[in-house]
Amino acid sequence: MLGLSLFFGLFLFMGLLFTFFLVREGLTTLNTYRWVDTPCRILESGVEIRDSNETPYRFIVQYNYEYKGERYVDSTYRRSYDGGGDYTKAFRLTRAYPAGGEAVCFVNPGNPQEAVLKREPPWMLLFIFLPLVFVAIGGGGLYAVWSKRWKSKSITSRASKKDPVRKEKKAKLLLGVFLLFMLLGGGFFWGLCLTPLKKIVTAGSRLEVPCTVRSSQVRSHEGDDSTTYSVDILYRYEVEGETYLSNRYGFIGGSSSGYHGKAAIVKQHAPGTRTVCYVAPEDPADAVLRKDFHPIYLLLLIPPVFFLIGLAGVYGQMKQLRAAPGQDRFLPADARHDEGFSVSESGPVTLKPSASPLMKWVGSIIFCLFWNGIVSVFVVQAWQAWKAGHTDWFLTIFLIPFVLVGLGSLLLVLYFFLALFNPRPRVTLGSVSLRLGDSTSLEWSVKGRRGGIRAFTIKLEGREEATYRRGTDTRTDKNVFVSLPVVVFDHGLPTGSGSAELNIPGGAMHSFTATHNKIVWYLKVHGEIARWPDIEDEYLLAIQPLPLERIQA
Amino acid sequence: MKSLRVELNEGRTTYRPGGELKGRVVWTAAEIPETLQVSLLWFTKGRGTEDAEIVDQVVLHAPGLSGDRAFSFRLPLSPYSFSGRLISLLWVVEAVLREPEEIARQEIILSPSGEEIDLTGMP
Repeated sequence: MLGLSLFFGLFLFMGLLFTFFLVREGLTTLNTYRWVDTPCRILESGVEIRDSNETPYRFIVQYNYEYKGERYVDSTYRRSYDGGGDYTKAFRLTRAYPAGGEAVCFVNPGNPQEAVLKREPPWMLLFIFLPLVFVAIGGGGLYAVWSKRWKSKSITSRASKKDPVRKEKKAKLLLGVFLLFMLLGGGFFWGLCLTPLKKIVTAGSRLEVPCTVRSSQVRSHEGDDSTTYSVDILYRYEVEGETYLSNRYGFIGGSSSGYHGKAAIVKQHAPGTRTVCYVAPEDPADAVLRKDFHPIYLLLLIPPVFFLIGLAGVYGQMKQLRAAPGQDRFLPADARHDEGFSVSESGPVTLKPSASPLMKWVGSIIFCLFWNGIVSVFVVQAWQAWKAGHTDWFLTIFLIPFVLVGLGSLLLVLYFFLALFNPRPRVTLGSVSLRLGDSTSLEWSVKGRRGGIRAFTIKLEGREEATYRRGTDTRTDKNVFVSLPVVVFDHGLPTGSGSAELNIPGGAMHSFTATHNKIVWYLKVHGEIARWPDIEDEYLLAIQPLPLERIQA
Repeated sequence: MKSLRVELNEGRTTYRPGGELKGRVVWTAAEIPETLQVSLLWFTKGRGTEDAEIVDQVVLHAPGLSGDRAFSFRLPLSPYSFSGRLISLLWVVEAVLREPEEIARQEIILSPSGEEIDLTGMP
């Protein structure tokens, strides 16, 4: 208990500390929005090049203004500004605030000697929820540790109450979490990824311009656990008689581990080296030394993945909130009547597979891109180190299983692509309002090339699904407890359609869905095709318990 | 001497869905308890993480040092008691006396046949 208390106490303390700093900073920022707009004149404007790994390029400015009859001079661009690693950004500010030009500055009415040219955006306060998450974890954890309820050995203390209102609140809370994922993913994509992605896509339209390297070095950035490195090559070029400086190497900046590769690049671009750079035709200040595609650009796809996860979660929670209360105990989540069935429950219903061939293919592509995108960054690093004669054996051996999974994912994409051309089965039931012991008619058909099908079966199967955690992994074990043939063709498929009787066993367990444990019923359609992906479809069924009148009979 | 027990009418432990479960809880506590809860609930056991749900509950506040109280629950239509290779679902009437905590349970079977559904024996 002491260990857990310390652990959660630390979370709580750090969360409160960060919240305090964020709120304080946010309030100070908001306060500047009460400062007075005042005309000012720019006296000096330029870019300072400093010997700093983190902020080597700093926009420096001096301006004067008059406030209540007194003249003042200040040199603050923005309260928290102290330069950055991108020369072009600093250069653009000299264009926005040229020496001799007029601008508007914001003067602190309580201390007129204090002024800024630009106020901090107030959206920093939106990030306050991040440390509040730590506060919630810490506070909640401490409560759980010390709460007598948690120490209870009763099953009652662990059980949830059958409370549709509470379930709805939980679904709404999860909806909020997934909306947050969408906002964060979408926001990061819009703010950080969209511009570089546009540049990557339009790289072909850039002008090739001669440039001369003015300085070059590998900058090191000390982190908590390790040091990362970045390439900083400052080069000069001319466009339409005007001289520009830029230190952009590719379309995205940042730093990473792996010193030797970067050192090799810097060595190739020693001061005085004449080379070419690629300039955006509409913005001569925007230049890069390298415009070809680099696997690291795939990292730009990470925010959209968060957005998609959020979108999928929002969709799932909206489905939950739309479901009739009390029904979800029987119905598997993806077999509700508005999802799995095309007409109302009482008449014939054409079933939809739980995952269509197209969904499987798209899913495999997303996984393949995501997995290989991340792995390729490290593969490139290992390859560059090998090329430079400094083979990183640990990284190389470590990457082998990940590369194998990546290759397997490529094969999976091909497999599911081929499966798109399979004949498509179609299953229609006389009724989907099925209870234990019921019977209904089943009509089936197969459209497309049937000639290659060696065997075709439709089975009614019941399956246990048990989800549990092992370490940090979540696993789901499955066990088919019953498999009843409904349609069987062992030697080819002589006909393209047929019908059968579907009998639900009377003494079995009905469909059941809880958070970690499920009983799932489904129709399994399997078509064996020689030298081609088989037809494999599952159609979820909702088998309800017996009604009261049948139990009492 | 402290004791807590749940007794079901006629000593029944098997019930049909939709039926009525009647019983009594008898207790003697060492200290005056704050609450006595009697809950009808189901829970899962086996490979998966436990799920549990309280279907109905009666709560007595300041029940006294000792007592004898009858209770009655209307049983729902589902889920049935079952046992499979990975998951079992059990029904229980659990009495919890607080503070200090004392627990007493009586397992029951809820199914149309009166017997636990055995998934391992299905064809």
